[in-house]
Amino acid sequence: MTTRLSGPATIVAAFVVISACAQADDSAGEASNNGDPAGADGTDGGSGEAGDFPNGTVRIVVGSGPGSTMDTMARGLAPRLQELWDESVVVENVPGANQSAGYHDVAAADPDGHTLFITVHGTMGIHDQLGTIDPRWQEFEWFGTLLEEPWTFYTAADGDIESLDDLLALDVIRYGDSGYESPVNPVALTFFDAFDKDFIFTPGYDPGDAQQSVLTGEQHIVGRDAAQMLRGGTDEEFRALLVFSHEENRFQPDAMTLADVEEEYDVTIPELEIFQLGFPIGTTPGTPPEIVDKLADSLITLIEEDEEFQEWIRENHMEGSVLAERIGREVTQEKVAAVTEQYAEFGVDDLQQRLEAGTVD
Amino acid sequence: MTAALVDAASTVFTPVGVLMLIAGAIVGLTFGMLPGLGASQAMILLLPFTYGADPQYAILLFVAIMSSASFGGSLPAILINTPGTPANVCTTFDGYPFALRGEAARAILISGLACLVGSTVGALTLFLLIPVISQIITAFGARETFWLVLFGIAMISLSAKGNTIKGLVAGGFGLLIAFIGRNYVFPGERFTGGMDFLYDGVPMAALLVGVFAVAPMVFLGAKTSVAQSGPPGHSAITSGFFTQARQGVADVWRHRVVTVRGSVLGVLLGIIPAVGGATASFVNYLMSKQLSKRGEEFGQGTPEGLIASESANDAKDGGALMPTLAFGIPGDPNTAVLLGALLMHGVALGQPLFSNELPMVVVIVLGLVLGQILVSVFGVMTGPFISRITTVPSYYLVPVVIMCALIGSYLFRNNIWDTTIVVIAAIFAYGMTQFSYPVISLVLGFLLGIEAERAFVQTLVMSQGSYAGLVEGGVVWTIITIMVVSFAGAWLINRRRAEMRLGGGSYEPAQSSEHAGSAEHAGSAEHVRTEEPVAVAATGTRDGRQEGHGRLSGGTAGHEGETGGSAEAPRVRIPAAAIFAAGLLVLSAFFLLGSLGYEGDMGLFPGVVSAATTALLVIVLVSELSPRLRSVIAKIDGGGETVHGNGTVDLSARAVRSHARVLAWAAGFTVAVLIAGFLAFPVLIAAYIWRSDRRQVAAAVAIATVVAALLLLLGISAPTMFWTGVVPTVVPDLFGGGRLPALF
Repeated sequence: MTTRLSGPATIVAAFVVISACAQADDSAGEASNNGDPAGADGTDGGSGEAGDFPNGTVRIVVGSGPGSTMDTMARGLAPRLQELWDESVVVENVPGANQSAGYHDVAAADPDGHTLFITVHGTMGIHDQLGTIDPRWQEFEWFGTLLEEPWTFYTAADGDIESLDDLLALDVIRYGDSGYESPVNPVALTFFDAFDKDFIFTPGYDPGDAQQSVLTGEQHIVGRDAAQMLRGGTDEEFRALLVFSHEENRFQPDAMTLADVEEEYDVTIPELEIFQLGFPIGTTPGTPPEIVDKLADSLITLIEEDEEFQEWIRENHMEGSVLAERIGREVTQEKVAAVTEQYAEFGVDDLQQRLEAGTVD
Repeated sequence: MTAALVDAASTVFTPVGVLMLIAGAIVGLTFGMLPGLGASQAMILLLPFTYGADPQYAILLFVAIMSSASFGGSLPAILINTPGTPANVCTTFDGYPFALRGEAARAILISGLACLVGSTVGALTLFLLIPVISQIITAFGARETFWLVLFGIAMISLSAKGNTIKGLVAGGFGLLIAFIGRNYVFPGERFTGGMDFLYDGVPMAALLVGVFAVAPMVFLGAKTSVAQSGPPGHSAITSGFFTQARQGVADVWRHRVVTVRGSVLGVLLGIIPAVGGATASFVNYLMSKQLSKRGEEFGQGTPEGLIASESANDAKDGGALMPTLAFGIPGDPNTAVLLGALLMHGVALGQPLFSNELPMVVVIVLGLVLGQILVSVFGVMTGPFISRITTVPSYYLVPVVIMCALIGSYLFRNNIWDTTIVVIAAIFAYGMTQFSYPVISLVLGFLLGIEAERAFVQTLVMSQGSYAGLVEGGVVWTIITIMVVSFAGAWLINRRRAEMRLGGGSYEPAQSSEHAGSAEHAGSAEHVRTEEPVAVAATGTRDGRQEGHGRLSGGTAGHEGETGGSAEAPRVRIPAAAIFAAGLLVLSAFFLLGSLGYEGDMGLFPGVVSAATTALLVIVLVSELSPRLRSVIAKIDGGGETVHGNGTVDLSARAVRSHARVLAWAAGFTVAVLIAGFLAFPVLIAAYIWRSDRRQVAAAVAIATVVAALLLLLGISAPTMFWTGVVPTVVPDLFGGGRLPALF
C-alpha cells in the first residue's frame, strides 16, 4: 500500500514545495493577497501610477449568477470599458453567501484597481450591520452608484388587489422575499408600521419565485424596482401599487408615491436612502486614490460620451437611473455613510424577531 | 401562430441559422461529454461572443447547446460508466451494461432517439401550451411544490427496494447533506463548521461529479480498461454497427409508450422550479422500473431503463422553458443562463414575448428539436469511433476524467474549495457502493431535501402554523391521488410479480444478480454475477451464506467465494461493512446532536431525519454483526431489486488496494491543483500514466502536452474560468492572478 500511495504523495509534496517557494517570493515582494489591505496607504498598490492604469486584465466581479441586474450592468459595461482602456475586461460571477463571497474575493485581490465589484447598497449595508463581512463596507473603495431606483410594491395584475385601498383593506397582508436580511424588509416593515397593519412574512424565495408567489396568489405583494420589471418584460403581469419615493416614477406613473400616501391617508413616511435599490461599484480597499478616481472618470466618460453605452442604457430601461452625478469617490462614500447610519438607526439585529412578530398567531 | 412559424423558419433555415444549429450541437455535444461540464458552462463561455449577433441567431445557438448537452452526456455514461452531466446519471445504470455486452452502438441509438422524442415532446408541449402557460404555472405554489417534492422523496423507498434499510439510510444522508448550509427560510446556517464555502450548501455539481464521475474511476482504475469488465474478447461493438443501429431503432419503437410517458413526465417535472434534469430522470427511471413488466431487468442493460432516463431528462427542457419565458423564472441552471442571455440580447419576456415576439418563441421550439436531431446524427455518425474509448487503457481515462470532474466542479460557482467536496463525495460513494448502500437514494435525498423543507416551512408560515394548510387545493389533492395510485399500483405489481416467481419456483433473493432476465440479457447477467458479488453478500441469501459479508478478502478479482464465503472466518474479526456502518452511525449522531442545538424549526427536519437515520443504522450495524438478523431482514425485504448506482463492486484485498491508490491520486490531484492551479493537471496526468505503466513515457508526455495546450487555450479565452493557484506569483499576471477564497 505504501508503495502504491507514494506516487500521489510525491507529487503533492512537490507541489507543496513549489507553493512554499512561491509564497516566500510573494511575501518578500508584492502586496499581500490574503485579504489584508497591506497597501492601504496607497503606496504599495501594485501598478501604482494612475497614468499606466489599467495595465492588464480588469475583472468585474458580480456576487450573483448571470441574469441579475448586477450581472446585466457588468456585461453592459465590460465591452465599453474594454474599448475605452484597450485592455481586456471580463465579468466573473462569484455567487454565494448573499453576495459576501464576491465581496471577500474582491477584498482579497491586489489593491491595484484591476478587480471591481458590483453589488447592492442595501445588501452590503445589512451585512455590515450584522458583522458578516470583513473588511467593513465603508473601507471598500466605492466610486459610484451605477444604477438606482426606488423600491416598489407590486401585486398581480389580474388579482383582486387593484389599489392601495384594496391592500390596506386586507386583515393580514402576506408578502415574501429571499431571507430575513433582504434589503426590502426594512422598507416593508416601515410600511406596515406606518399603517399599523398585520402581516405575514414568508422567507426563502428565490428572486423569481417571490414574483411567482404573487401570481399564484399565495402572497399579496412583492418588492421590486420598476426598471427591473421592465427589463424582465414581466411588468404587464404585475401592478405597481406604491413606489417608495415622493416623486412619481417615470416607469410606473400610476403607482402611488409617498407624497400621495401622505395626502390621502395622512400617513407620513420619510424618504430614506434605504428605500432606494442602488447598485454601487467599488474596488479593493487600499487601491491608490488616483486609480480609483480614474475608474470613476472612465464611468463618467461612458455615461456622458459613449453613444453605444447610452443606447444600451436606453434599451435596458436604465435611462434616468444611470447618472454621472452618482459617480465619484466622495458622492458614493457619502451614500454609503448615509445608508450605514439609517440601517443603524433602523436596527437590523432584530429583523427576524420583528418580521416574525408580524405573524398573526 | 402560423405566421410566427413561417417567420421563425425563415430565420432558422438560412445559412447562418443552420450554422448556429450545427455549432450549438457540436459545442453541446462536446461539453456534455466532458464529466462535470454541461450546457450552462458552454453558454456562459460563448455569451460574450454573441453580443453583436442577431438575438434570434444567438438564442438559437444557446438552445441548440442546451438541447445537445444531455445527449452528449449520455455517451460517456454508456461507454465508461461516467455521466457527462448530472442528468445522465440514470443512463449509466442501463447504458453501461450495453457497452459491456458489446452493444454500445445500440445503446447510443436508443439514447439518441429517446432524447429526440423527449425534446420533441417537450418542444411541442411548449408550443401547444403557449396560450395557457400562465394558468398552468400559477397553479403551483409552495404547497403544491411540497407535495411534488414529497412524491420525489417517496421514490427513495422505490429506489431502495430489495435493500430497503440501507436505501433509507442512504436517502437519509442525502437529506442531511442537503441541510448543510443556509436555507433561507431560517436566519442562520447549519452544519457548516464555520466554513464559508458551505454557506450556500454542498455544491450540487461537486457532489454529483464526485459520486458519479470520480467514484466509478476508482473501480475502473483497478482494471486495465473498460473492456476488461466485459466478457472475454469483447469490445464496445461486437456485431455490425448498422445491425445494432437497427436494433436500437426497433427498441425505441417497441417501447414507444415508455418513451412518450417519460417525455410527458419530464415536461411536467421541468415546469417546477428547482427540478433539474437529474431529478426528472431519477423519478421517471424509478417509476418506469415499477411499472415495467421487466422491472427486475432495470440496471442490467435494458432498453426501457435507458429510454426512461434519456427521454425525461431531455423533455424537461421544454417544461423548464415555460416559466422562464412566461415569467422570467428559470426552471433549472441551464434555463437560468439562457434567461441571462435572453435579457442581455434585449428579448422581453412574459406577455410581450408571447404577444409581440412569438417568432422568437418558435425559434426556441425549433432550436430544441433541430439541435437534438443534429446531435443525434453526430452521435450516431461518430458512434463507431467513440465506442473505441472502452478499449483505451484505464490509466489514460482515469486521470483525464478526474481532471474534467475537478474543473467542472470549480466552474459551477468559481470556488476552488468545491474540488475538495468532489474527493470527499467520491470516497463516501465508494464506501457506499462497496457496502451496498444505493447511492441513487443518497442523490435523490440530496436533490430534493432542501426544497422539501423550504416548501414545508413556507406553507406552514402562510397557513399560520396550521397543518391543514398543507392539504388545501385541488392541485394538491390531484398530486396526492396520483402519488397514492402510483405507490398502490407499484405495490400490487410487485406483489403479483413475487407471487409469480414463488409460484414458478424460481424465487431468488433480493439483489441477487443471478435472476437473469430474458435470454436477450444472458450475457449481462453472467457478467453482473462476477462483477457485483457484494450485491449477494450485502443482504444475504436464503441459505444463509452471509457470514463473511463485507470482509476484505485476500483474493483477487471479486468473486462470490472471496467476498461472501469463508464459514471458517474467525468471529472475532469485525467485518469491514460493520466498521463502515459504525462510521456512518457516528456521522449520523453528529447530525442529530447538531440538530438539537438549533433553535425553533431550524433543527426540526434535520433532527427527525438524523434520528430516523441513526435508528436505522443501529439495525444495520447489528445486522452486519449478526448473520441471523441479516437473514431475517433479507427475507422481509426480498423480492425487489435495488438499482445499482456506480456498478462494479469488488472487496478483494487487491482490488481495495488498487481503489485506495486511485482515491489517493484523486486527493493528490485536488491538493496539487488547489496549490498550483489547473496547470498542475498535465504534470499530474503524466505522472499518473507513468506510475501506472513505466513504458508509456512517450504517451504520457504527449497526452500531458495536449492537455496543457487545451488548458492554456481555456486560460487565454476564458481567464475567469481558469484557476491559477499560486502560479501567478511565479509567473506574474498569468491569466489575471490566482484567488484562494477564504475557507472559514
